[in-house]
Amino acid sequence: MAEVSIHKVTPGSILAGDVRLPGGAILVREGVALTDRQITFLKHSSITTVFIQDQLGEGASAEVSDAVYAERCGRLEEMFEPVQDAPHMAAIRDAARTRLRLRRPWE
Amino acid sequence: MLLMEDARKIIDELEGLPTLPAVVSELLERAEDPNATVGNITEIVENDPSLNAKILKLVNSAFYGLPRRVSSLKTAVSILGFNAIRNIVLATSIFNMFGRRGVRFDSVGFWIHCLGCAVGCTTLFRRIDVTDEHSEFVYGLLHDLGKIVMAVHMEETMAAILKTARTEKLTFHEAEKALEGVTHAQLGAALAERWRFPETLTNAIRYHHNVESAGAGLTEASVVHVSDTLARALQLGWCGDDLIAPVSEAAWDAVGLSTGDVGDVMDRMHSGLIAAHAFIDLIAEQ
Repeated sequence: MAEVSIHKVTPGSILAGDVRLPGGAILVREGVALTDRQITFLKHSSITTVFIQDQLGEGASAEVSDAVYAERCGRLEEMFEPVQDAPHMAAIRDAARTRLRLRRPWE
Repeated sequence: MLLMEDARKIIDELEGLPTLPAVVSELLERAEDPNATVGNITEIVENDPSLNAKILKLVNSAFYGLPRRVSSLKTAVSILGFNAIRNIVLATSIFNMFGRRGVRFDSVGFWIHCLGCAVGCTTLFRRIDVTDEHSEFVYGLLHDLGKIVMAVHMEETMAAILKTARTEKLTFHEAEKALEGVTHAQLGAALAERWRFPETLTNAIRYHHNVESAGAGLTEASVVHVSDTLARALQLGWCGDDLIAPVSEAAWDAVGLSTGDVGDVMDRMHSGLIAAHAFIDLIAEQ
């Protein structure tokens, strides 16, 4: 769990505790994966920091192992080899390559 | 290639094809009525205790992130709106009807692919200012409805397509076109018509591999098409092959993406997966 400035929170970050107004009213509940709209709302509600949890629980890594990443990259290259010269496909492949490091919620 | 009429005939003649639960049909009809009230919609859903419970559980989940617990179905309906209720009910019913059946078909991998496409759709619809992101989620979730029909009710056809895709190194869609049978897009649209899905959703299912023919439905079909492509690139689940087709230029233009935007869209898809995964778990609960 980490206390993060509201200006550094990214969409998808999961709250580690309820966000409350000074009077105690709950603005957003613990466990919510914050959306763009909610982050903007909190900024407008003068919230300066929030507690964000590690999305996979304490001690878990958000990235897959080097071996799994290498396997995914191998599949990516095979998948895109026939189409890499088609419009936009190289950009899609390159953007995906970086994100294949991320562990998915069901993994 | 066979025509849409052929797909409709196949759907009409399939034995054992489930009918949509009456509550879903009634809801679909009433939700299109501009004079329908929150009370009307609530009355339809509250007669189905299982749906009732699922809607309340979903509205109180992290997926919707409401600040207060909702205990009344009527309040849930007014907060979520008709479209969201319609689509929760649709997705729940279909998921439960087809569930994890189907020979020679990785149904778990398939639903993960649909989930990936669904979060892609919410991301892209928001980028083009379509604000009902909870409703648009279902476009991605149900875009490959035709593959479910094939997997459960047309097993020989499905087996032939998968074999052709594997041996000829083709995408699923290329393989079904090569076999000159009906396509999963046509079958899915025919079933969507039979179940009286909203026209925009039916057209998106029908044209998501052929957006150039989508006419007035170009935007929705394009969002599904691009989301499908991005979900494949990110290797989210499995959809019948391990390949990727070039993204349609017409679809790319319709969703207004630039190559510099792709990374941001993918990041938002990953964030969306975390919340949406909980949504799918709740829908899939028996």
